[in-house]
Amino acid sequence: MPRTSLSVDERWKLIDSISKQVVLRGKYKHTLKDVISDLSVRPMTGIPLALAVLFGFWAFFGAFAGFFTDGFAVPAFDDHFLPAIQRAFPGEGGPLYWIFVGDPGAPSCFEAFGVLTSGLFVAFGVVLPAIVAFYLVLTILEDTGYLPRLAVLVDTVFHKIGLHGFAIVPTILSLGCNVPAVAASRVLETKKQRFMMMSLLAVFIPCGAQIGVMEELLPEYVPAILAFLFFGYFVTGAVLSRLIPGRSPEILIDVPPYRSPIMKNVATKTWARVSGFIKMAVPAVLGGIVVVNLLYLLGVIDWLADALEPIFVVWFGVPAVTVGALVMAFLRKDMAVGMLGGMAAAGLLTTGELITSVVLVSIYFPCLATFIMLWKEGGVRDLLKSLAILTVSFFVFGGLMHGIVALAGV
Amino acid sequence: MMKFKLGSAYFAILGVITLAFGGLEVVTGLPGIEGLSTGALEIPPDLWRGIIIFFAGAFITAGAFKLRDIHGLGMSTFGSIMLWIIAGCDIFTRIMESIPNGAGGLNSLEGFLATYGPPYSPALFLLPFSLVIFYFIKEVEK
Amino acid sequence: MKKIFLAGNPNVGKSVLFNRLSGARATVSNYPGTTVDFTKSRMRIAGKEYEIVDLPGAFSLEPKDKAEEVARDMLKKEKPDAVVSVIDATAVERGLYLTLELIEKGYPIVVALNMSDVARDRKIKIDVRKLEEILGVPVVETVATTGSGLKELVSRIEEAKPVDVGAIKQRAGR
Repeated sequence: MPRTSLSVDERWKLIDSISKQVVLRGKYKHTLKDVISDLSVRPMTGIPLALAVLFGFWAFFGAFAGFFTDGFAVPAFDDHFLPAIQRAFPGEGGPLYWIFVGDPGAPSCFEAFGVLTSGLFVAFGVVLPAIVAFYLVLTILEDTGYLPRLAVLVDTVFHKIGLHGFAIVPTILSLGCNVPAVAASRVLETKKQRFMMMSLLAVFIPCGAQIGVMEELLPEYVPAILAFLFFGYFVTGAVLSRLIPGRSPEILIDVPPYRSPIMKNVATKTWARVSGFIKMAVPAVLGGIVVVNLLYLLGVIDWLADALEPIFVVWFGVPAVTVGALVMAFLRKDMAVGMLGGMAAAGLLTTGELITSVVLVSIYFPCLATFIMLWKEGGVRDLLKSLAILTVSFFVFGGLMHGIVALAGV
Repeated sequence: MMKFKLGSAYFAILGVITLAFGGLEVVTGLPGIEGLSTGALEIPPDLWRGIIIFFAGAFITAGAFKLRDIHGLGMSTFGSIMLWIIAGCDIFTRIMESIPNGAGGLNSLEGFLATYGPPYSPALFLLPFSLVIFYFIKEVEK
Repeated sequence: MKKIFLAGNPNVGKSVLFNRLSGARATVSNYPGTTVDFTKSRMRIAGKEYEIVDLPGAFSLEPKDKAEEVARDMLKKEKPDAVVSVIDATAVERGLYLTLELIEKGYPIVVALNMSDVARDRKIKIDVRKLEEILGVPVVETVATTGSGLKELVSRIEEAKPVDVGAIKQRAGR
């Protein structure tokens, strides 16, 4: 069969003549939906709505996670489960006891740091409710079609850092988990934009699991910490956009109509994401504790702490014990923040040091799963470049946070 | 039509009240100023919330004068939606707080019911009044 | 096993259609660019088993982003037995662009005019018979979210055939 090829112009001409014969557009009256859709992308009205949506997101997240964590998980774990297992597990003081139960005198699950104590508590008591809450709201925002509107609204801001408004979509996904967010960066047009996006996500955006633990440990400082991280995201973005060669073209964002979400889709999607999280994160949390505890037992962490002490104390203003948490952060950041919380509860860290070290954990090396994803998407070269960006950011913003905490006198 | 004149007046006033409450939440949210609470009403000292409610009120009022026009109605509805988001969160938070008893178990019936008692936030007070908008949406769609 | 591909612009409902056809659970959202990788599943039509692939959204076969690249490469690499070109009934022109490209490349096509309910709400009327006549391939109106039109779509997949663009041009009167 003969195959004809058309040029771009010829194709559009043909489409034009087809659509003239086939499509009839009646007189279309503006509906309420259209008016509301319009108002949500105009800055004067759109920004207040965006504030309301973010407020709702946060309030729902707090209430839902608080319900499970503070209402049930904390009392159940700390008052019943922890003392029971501390008593029942054989061989107190031995290495197995240390790995699985942790500190035999610990008054709370954050402080014990064993696989069966801190591990189960953080994974199921703290992080799971946070993740469910996050994905529930996110899915509703996705299915109504609010996200692309938010993208239009923030377009101007993102252009300043060489990205465009649609970058808000991977960014918000990243607040749930960095791994799917890195994959979502594929919708960005140029290699430069994709690389910038992946690096910024991996370095600055804390995942939902981590935010959940932060919300449990230092709720009054979470907004400030997030604000600081977003500040870092934009500053670094602006710098990268000037340093990295490549184009940042404009694209038009397609705004689909508002739709009411279909409950079944919301349920299946939330479930798919949550079960994905359970399969991926829970083994990493539990395995991570085993690894870190082994490293403690072998003296590796104490050796690292001694070696790195000057940098930590002088530059970041945090004691060297935090090294243990940074090692944990290689595997899971939520558990790393949990460890820091345990240290603070045991009196090893002041509040100011806790805040700085939580910021350090956030910026510091992406967790293992994200690392693998970066590798798959960008290849070794991009991965190494991302790691270079990360190292610089770690020292710059970690030092800056030290200064802010010192000035604010927390 | 009389209905729409009344509606305009109604939403203009509702909007102004909403706006005023928003302003109050902003002021009490500033550092160094204490929150207000009477028996039935409690102004949560929250800057963020205050700003949202303030704008919600402004939009409700702005749309109120052209309620018959889809654009005016849309504006008022838009403001109401913002108010509903805040009120919805307040209700949800109460539900979540009413169930556990704080010691790992379920709340007693008394404790459960007590959670729903006053004081209420302005958003909760304004919520039922703002639902009137649905009547006008139906009217305009006719 | 025969292979059926779902292709189309971003956010036209390919994944919803895919889930409907295969009973799979691809992630579906109301914004463009949800599917950035292909998803495979199986379905049975009249006792025959088919492999069905959901491609990432693309405006053209000359890729501008990585998701479009994935779509093009999949089409090149695996020769599909039929491509369901999913068109947003409210933006027919954009969808036809990709459809024509697919036709030029010689793929056997069936057109699904999806979201025809939204088009009706917006007072857009599409003469399906006429479109079918001009293109020379089956055109079916569908509403993937409710499942309407899917039976017809499935029953006509076998009719998918390659057509010549020159002939389309003639039928369109140019």
